[in-house]
Amino acid sequence: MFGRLTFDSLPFYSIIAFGGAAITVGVGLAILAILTWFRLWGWLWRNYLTTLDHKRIGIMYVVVALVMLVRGFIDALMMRGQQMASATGHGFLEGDHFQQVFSAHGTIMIFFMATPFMAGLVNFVLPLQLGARDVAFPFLNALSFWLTAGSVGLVLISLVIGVFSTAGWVGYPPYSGIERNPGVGVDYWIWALFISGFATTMTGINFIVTIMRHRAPGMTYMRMPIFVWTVLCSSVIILIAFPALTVAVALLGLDRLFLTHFFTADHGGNLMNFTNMFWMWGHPEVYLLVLPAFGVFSEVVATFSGKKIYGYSAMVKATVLIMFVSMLVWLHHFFTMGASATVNAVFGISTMIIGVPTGLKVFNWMFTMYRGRVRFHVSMYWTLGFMVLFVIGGATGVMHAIVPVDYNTHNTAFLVAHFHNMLVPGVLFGFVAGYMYWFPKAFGFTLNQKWGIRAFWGWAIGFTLAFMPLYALGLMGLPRRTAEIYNPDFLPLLIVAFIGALCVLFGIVALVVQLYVSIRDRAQNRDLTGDPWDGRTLEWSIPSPPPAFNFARIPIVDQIDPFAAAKRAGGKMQYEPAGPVELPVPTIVPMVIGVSGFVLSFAAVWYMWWLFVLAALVMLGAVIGRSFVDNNEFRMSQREVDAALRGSAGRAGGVQ
Amino acid sequence: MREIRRGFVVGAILFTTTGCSRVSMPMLNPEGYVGRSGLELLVITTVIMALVIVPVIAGTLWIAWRYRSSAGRTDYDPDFTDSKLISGVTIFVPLITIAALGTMTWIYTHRLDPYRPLGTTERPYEIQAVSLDYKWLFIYPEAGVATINQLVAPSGQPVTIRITSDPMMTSIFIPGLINQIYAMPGMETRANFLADNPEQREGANAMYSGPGFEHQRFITHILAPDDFAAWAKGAAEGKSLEGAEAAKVEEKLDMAYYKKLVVRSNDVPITYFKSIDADLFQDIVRLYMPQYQMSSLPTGAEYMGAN
Amino acid sequence: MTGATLRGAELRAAVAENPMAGLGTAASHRVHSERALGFWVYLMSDTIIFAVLFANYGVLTFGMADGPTPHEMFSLGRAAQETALLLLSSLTFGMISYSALSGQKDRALLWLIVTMVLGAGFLALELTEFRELFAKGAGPQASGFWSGFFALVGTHGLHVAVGMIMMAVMGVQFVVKGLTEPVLSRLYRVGLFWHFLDLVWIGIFSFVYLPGVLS
Repeated sequence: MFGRLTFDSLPFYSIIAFGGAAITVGVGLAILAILTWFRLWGWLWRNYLTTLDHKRIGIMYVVVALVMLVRGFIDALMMRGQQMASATGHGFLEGDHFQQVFSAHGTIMIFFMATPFMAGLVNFVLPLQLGARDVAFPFLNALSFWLTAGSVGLVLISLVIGVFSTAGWVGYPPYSGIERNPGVGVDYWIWALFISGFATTMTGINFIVTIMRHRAPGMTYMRMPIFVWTVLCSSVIILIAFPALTVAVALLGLDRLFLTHFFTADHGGNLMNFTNMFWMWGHPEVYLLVLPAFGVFSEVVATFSGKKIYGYSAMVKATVLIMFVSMLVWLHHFFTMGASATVNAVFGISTMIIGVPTGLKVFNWMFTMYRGRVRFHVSMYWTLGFMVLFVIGGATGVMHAIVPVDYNTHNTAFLVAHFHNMLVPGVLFGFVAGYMYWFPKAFGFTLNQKWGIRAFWGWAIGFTLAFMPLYALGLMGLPRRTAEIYNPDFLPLLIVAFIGALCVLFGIVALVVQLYVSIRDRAQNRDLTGDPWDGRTLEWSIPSPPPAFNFARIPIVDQIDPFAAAKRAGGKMQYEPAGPVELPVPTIVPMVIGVSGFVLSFAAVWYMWWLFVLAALVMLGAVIGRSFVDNNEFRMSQREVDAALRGSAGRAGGVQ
Repeated sequence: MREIRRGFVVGAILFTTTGCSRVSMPMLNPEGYVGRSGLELLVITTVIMALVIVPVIAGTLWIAWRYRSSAGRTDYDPDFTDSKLISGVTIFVPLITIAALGTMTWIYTHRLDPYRPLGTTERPYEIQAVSLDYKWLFIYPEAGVATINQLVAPSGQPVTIRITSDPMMTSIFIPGLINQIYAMPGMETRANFLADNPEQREGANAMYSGPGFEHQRFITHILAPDDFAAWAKGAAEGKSLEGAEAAKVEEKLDMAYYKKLVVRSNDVPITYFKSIDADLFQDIVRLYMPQYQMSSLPTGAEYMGAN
Repeated sequence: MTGATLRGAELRAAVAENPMAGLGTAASHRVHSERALGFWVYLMSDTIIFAVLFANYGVLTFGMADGPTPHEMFSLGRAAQETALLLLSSLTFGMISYSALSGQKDRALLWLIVTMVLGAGFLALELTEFRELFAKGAGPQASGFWSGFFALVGTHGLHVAVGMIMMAVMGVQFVVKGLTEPVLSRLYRVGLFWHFLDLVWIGIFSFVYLPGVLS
């Protein structure tokens, strides 16, 4: 009945694990209580649970990402603490808890923080920048979100019932095989990746079709905002890279479940195959995350410099080049696996080639500021912080691409420092900059600048203190994922790194305070114009928050940055004649499928096959049932449209 | 922000150059050709990259400050979005940097190919390494002995390590002496080194292979050629290295004993085997890859080919 | 779903792009072509899944270990029969589309049933083959090679099964809804899917069965 789920699966084996479980359950219950106490269930149901509106789906993605950011950061803090404490003793994490923590940290930050953050920002912004009313497939969009949410739920519940994987976020066999890892941890990891990978692929398809078919009239490809270009390239990467991950984890799951020999060491299996497939996805993955972040920086720099982006077409070409080359470099994650010198050298050089378009982008951001009027809005802080810190990560990345240097730094703390140097200033700073930049568009009031700047300094200083010592520790030969530090010489730098983590903690607290202060003071910070930053692209030409249909009349575009051009010419935007406004009908089906996805994978993890079949049938039934719906749009009358427009302009500032 | 980082960088450099011994900064104190090449490359690339990124960082902050809106500069030009000169430089600088580094990569990758024996005339001394959960087994086929968690090798002579693993995928790494390379079950990889002077150096499994992998460490003792010959002879009689004595001396390492050895264990003390089964390494690989044939060393690189 | 009906050159252009466009309005044509594009993009992603599985199989052909070889296990005759059934079913699917577009519901339904019978025949043959392989000790646990074989051919078979479900749903929609525009639009995508599986099968026949038997 319950498969291999027993009472022993509950986390009573360790105080810390139990504490984590208690906090997870407690926060969940608290949220339910708050929703009930303030009678928000109806509001939640109407506006979020059943919505197909890309803006609300985007907001939900970002909420998920911010929650998981906190969860993943707590893991990071525990790792820093454990390594520091273990330099003089054994540390405080027992058994394989440290290994669970670093596996969860990596998995969460990549799949359930960075990817949803990206999906959320793109969801919110993309149709607005294109001058569209929604994405191409609103239902599919909601489905992607709810499947992502289901896999997030799977990762969270692993904290309460059972354990998480100890195989690291990459899960290399044979360690992740059934012989060495018979528990549920690796299965949680496999299913979370499988479901969220499927969801992300659907998101990529949706974005591609949206960009190809939903651009405003006159918006040729070479008039699209840079952000849209980066999303297009990122989506193509999703399309090409994610299947490799899907296959890799599926086959690993088959190895574990049916004792096949895909990745086993014996009976003709090939464990190097997993490594290849994983990184065929894994390397493009970082580019599909960083490209939209580059897009955000491009928008922010142009807006706050009061200029068009420098070298638009070069930026576009650089983005496309990165897209192509990103898929031809995966082998650099395992130069030490013993491929021939020629193979290694070719992949090393192709890796470096990415440095050329990326370098070009940095120069173009620089020269966008040149002869501009730079306003130091908080988004601009994140952008400048990114440019300064990211080039250091880029430099160490090029060093890693030199094969013999990689032989000496691979698998050490140096590598950990390098990829955090790309992903924290590169990806996370970009998404946070985007969050602060587009927040007023989403909610109708601006975020508090002072606390935003404090958060920036917390993150920037914290990042520097936390990861520069790791570069040195790597050169001292500290292998990554070391649970017990064996060399007391490492202690001083580990203390510095821990202090850095505390600074980042301050940065996160400052983000929370910023949100609280901004909501409290929203009356003073209302954005009544819809254009708080003197913006350049179409999303700023509509009220904040935008009405459900975004554009009452579809704008006509005749150049890059059409809104800025219209303002400069002192004229108005050109619009198409008013036509019918059709919006997708809200539906609970995506959420049902997402919840079923969660139940299905939970059942598979615990070998509850009856439940697995039940959930699969619900999903199948929902999809088939949905296929009978012919017309899923309703038309708004002109009066409703006018009312919504008045509401948007007059009542800007609601938290809804 | 800038000050803090600069202060930190200066601090880190001081820390690494003055406060650090050979043991705590092994990569910066390399031994032998392989280690020295690694350091050489690290320094060259750091300098080249610094030449590019320091001006970029400075330029970014300078331009942002100089063109701040509160400065009220009059040369504001919203249409300045293209300049042949700037575009040329911004393409040319990354391109030339990458071209230089790419050329270096090609040359050094081939020069330091792990399958390429070092030294042209001398036949390298062969040592076989087996990565076990969580200990290292070293077999010296010529001397007919084996050690656990202690690697002893001669200086002044090229050494080739044949590497395999059972059952995890791990990675052998002696910073500053050999280049890191994976150890995989059913497969053989190689590492080469040529140490000029006798010394001691820490080695490890650098790749996570389960809780406890950090205990899979060993000390490498490089001995002068005469001392090494004496050690090899002594080891066959159960005499271990002075100052790093074996805690346990066993008679013979054969498959039967190996089956006991392969069971997972942590913090295994240094153990010596007075004699070995000559085909043991091959048999260990064959546990996973029955058709495996051991190659003779000089043609090893050709045999392994592209992996 | 209303809007200006297509006329003249616009209609011709739309029909050239997709024969089903002529039936509808500008708005419904837009919806249909968007969904078709999305489905094409999805098929590209699915292609990569199969590409990875093909590559995986290619690598694992070196992993026969001590398991049986494909030479003793594969039957080219049965693979040829499977190929014939699947290719024929693509042809009959073309007949479904043709009849449906010309508004002949009963004939469309008939061809749909014929196609499903052919598809079921394919699946039956494949399952028989799998059962025999299991019985002869060439199951997916036999060696890396057989794992790779079952992953590739099994994934294709799973796709065919999904295609059968899709066709069953189409059949019900023919009866319940008639040959309405949304139904035809769905039929178009199911067709894409079905023809795509043909292509993949040709790859499997040429890269798995032929070399396996000839080796």
